[in-house]
Amino acid sequence: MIAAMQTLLQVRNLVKKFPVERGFPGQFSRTPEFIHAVSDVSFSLERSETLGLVGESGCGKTTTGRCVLRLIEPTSGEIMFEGVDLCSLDGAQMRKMRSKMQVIFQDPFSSLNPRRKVGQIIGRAMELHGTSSGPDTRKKVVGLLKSVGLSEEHADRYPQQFSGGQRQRIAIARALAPNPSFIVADEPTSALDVSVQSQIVNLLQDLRENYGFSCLFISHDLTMVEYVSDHVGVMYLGKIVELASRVAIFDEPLHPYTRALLSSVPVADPEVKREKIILKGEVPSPTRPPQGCRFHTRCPFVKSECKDIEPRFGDVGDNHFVACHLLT
Amino acid sequence: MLLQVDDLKTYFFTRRGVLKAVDGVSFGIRRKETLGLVGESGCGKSTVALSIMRLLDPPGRIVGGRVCLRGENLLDKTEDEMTHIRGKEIAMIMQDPMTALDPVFAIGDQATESLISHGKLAKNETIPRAVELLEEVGIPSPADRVRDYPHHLSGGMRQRIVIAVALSCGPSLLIADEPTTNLDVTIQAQILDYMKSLKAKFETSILFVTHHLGIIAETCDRVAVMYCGDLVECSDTLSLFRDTRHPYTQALLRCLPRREYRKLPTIEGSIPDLINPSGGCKFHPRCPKAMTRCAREKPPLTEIEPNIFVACHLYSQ
Repeated sequence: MIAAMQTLLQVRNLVKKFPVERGFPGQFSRTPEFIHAVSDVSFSLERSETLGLVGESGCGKTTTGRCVLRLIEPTSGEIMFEGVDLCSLDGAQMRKMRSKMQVIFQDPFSSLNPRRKVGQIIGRAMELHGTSSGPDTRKKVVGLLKSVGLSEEHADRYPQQFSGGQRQRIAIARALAPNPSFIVADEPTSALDVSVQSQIVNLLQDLRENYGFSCLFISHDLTMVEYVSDHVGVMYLGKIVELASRVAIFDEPLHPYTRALLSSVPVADPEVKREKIILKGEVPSPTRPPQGCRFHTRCPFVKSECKDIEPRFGDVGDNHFVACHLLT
Repeated sequence: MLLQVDDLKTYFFTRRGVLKAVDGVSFGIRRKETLGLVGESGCGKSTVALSIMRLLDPPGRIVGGRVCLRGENLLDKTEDEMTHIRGKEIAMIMQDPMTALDPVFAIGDQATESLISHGKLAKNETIPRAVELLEEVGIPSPADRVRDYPHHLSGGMRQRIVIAVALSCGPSLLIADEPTTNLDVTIQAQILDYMKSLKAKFETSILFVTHHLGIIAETCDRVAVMYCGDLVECSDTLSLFRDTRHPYTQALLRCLPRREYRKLPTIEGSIPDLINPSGGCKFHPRCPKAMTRCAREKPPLTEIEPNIFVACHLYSQ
């Protein structure tokens, strides 16, 4: 039971399907089609831990992150946050819960209200979630701005007066305002310049040490994920294909997709000569995902059973979870 | 040398003042060689590429220098002459495959357009030649694809078409401006692999513009590093990574994330304003090894060892 108490977030069998409109709007369609964005995803997150979620575009990592916060309503599945099933909460209860769970979006140019001053943006988050009110707010806002590397005078400026990196700092300060125990960081560095990316990641790491929040770090950048995560989940076409500790994923990847993905990252060392696994073809459409293992159309080790039977997502030892017929 | 760029200066005449995007850059590309041009965004690497092609839009203008292709200065050519050179002698792959293709023309027509306009193909032979071209860049079932439109294809497929278009006339120089930046890593690996095999087949020289040091290490024979419109270091790939000379290149390489770091290293300070840059070496305000001389004099790009060029006072007597 002690182990269970450490678990902050437990996601079980999360499914999200988006209906696709075909033909003219409102036209009757005999077979409704769906984009299977997230199919049966399960994972858990411990307190003050960072789980990295990697995968290529369209694999469902962002949808997973948003479903966990119920910013998108999941089709089915269970999201236990601090022992409460989020899907069973009504609007008012969910709003209360949101003070404990915050999000940092990818694009700091569209995630901040251009008509509000930075101080108002952050102060409003505090007031809405009841962490501060009245004259106290200003002091707390300034404190928070300082902790993300900005200064007091920045509180009276508008978002458009800041650079991308500074805006992302503001977005981080806003996310921290209600003092959350869980933050979803959805590609927080992708819109930034390379030299600014490391500053933002360093800031997130420092804040995580000081504030002790858990983080779901969603990114397609494997080197960033390797750097920030304690555990890593690899997604492919709506499913987590491998989930293990960071060291296990990067040193001993087991799933053929993870291995191909890792070998695809160019290494900045001309003396390293590695065998590259170059995948044939492209990711199939999530409207009609392949039968059996979803990776079988591109897998270099495909067997006949992979085409019909979906592999079980099982533990192969040391909490290393893989969904592959070669291993389970 | 196939292409020799000497003291190229490209400025942008903005309302705020003159922005020196490329401020006296010199390098050469040999036959069958891949030269990587690397730097952070805003360092002028794309402007160099566009200057070579003479595709700059106002307020950008080439104000000085020479760009010689097989000894002929491209900057002296008329616009008509350039039209004959673009696509035939020098081809370019742009960063964004979503906008590089015209949405209202079929793939096959776009793949052969350059061949027809350079008089290498009759109009009634387009379809079979287009099928061949698509096959060469690894598009599955090319015969069905030639009549498709760009929106039917994924980003990776479109970038292959763009490469097919670029290579169709057998150019001697291919300029690739961040050709894989918008693609996923597994697709990026596919495209880089194709570019390598196509380069061997067509014997093309490549100017590879990218900010990604990993891609440089894996694909380029030589590397030129740019900082704020200046070329700061140019050498073969192995020496650049093993015996890094310029403090900026050293800082850039140190910033690559590694697991064992507790904190990611960053370069102190920020990029200077290119309209009013401080005097001397542009990197000196951020350089850990800056000397008094660095603020006064701009270090020239000097050959300190055979084929190793550095612009830094640390290496001058």
